[in-house]
Amino acid sequence: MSVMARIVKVAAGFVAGWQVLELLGEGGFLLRPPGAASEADLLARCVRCGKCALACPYHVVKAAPSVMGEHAGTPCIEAREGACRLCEDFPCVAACPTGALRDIAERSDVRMGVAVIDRELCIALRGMRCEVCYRVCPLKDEAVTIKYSLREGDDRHAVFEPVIHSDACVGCGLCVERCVISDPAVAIRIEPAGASPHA
Amino acid sequence: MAGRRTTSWLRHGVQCAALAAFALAGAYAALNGTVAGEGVFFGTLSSSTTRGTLVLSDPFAAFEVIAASRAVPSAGLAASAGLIAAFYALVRGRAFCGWLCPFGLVSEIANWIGKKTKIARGRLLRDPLPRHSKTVAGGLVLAASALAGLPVFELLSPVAFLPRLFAYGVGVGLWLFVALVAVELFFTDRLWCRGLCPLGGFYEAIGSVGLVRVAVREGCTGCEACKRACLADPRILDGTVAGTAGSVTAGDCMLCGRCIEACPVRVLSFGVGGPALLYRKSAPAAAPKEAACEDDAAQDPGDER
Repeated sequence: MSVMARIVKVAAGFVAGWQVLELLGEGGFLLRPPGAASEADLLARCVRCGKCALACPYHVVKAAPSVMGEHAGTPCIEAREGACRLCEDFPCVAACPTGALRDIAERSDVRMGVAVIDRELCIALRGMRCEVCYRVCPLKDEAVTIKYSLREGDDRHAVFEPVIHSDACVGCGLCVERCVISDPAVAIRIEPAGASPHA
Repeated sequence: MAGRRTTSWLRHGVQCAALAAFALAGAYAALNGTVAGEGVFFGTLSSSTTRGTLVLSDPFAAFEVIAASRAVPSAGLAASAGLIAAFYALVRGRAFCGWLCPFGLVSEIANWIGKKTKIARGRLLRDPLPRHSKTVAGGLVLAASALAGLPVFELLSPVAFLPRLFAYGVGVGLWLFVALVAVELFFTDRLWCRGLCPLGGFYEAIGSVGLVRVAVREGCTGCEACKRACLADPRILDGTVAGTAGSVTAGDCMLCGRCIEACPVRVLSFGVGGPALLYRKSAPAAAPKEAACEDDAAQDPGDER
């Protein structure tokens, strides 16, 4: 057995081991495209064909990277980088061959998750008129409304507080993409439907 | 040999064209944003859409989904996977392996490089697995899919690795792919394709009913050049060499055509017809021939020892 062959054997063992580690990787809870019935259902049906990502007109549906264990190659959306635009015709759902994404006729059928505002970070709660999340919301006045109230200890200025209505919010993430606060963190995030115990 | 490798070059052309189609569709999507509807073709080996209407899906992946989701497949999945299964059942199951599978192409290239550069010293493993073990692998994958609630082969598949990488830029199963290429380069001929691939096992299972098969005419000298050239498994040619079979009936045959090209007396050819039809050709079964160069049978031309 030559030295070369020995090196190759070790290398082969290494890459095979790495593959096992990758398969055991932890994906956490990902924001899925419209039409995933539940996290378990999506994982059971998705064959990682990539057609939803290829069909997305906005490049926001991406395949999860290979280090994400059982999630590798499944579709996800990183809302801050590019949120779901809730297309009228849902090309991602239409492209899915296995029904991993399914049963979406209109926007209100989508259940990707729910937006959650960080009340510590949101500048609207500190009296500034931001309302960006409200204005960009495709389901404005249903999923998010503005609550007016007098500022505490101030009888002249109002607080225009965005309020998320979790029954109407579909979790598209446009508010996350556009939120003006990024330091120390974005003031709004999407709690993915897969993270909720009811999913 | 020159001029007689037409089938092989045609085959390599088809293998490359399939990969190129996935890569072009992926590049188009990356540049233009969308390929659905307006596109000529998009998708991967797992599922693709041509001209917005013709949807084709991997039937083995469909079975994995059925096992993992424990649900009746959608009509779309049943139709798109059924089309592919019906096509290969009609032609020849493992024609997929010979003509389309990207890993088949990679493995052929790796074996070729291994022999040319002589880094494939010794060929430590020679057909270490029985050829039917891949159907067992297919069954195990389906059982594991049901247990895990995941189409498990789709997480690992070196078969779909390149189409996925080209179409959407994520190398699912990268390290298994790398390891298998290394194995093909240094240690063995076609370990994965002959013995391990669950997808190949699935196609082998539906592979014996196909209408296209390699047929043998009278005149075989028993030199076994066909067996040395066979990409699938040399043992599937035992019957035609011995004169007991008029055609290769094993579900393992990939219709790669290398046996036809290798035959020095040109008695092999592609034939079309059911098994009965092609068996009849050899009805006056000649006395089993002496193997002319038996010693060479297990020896690859490029091997050192």
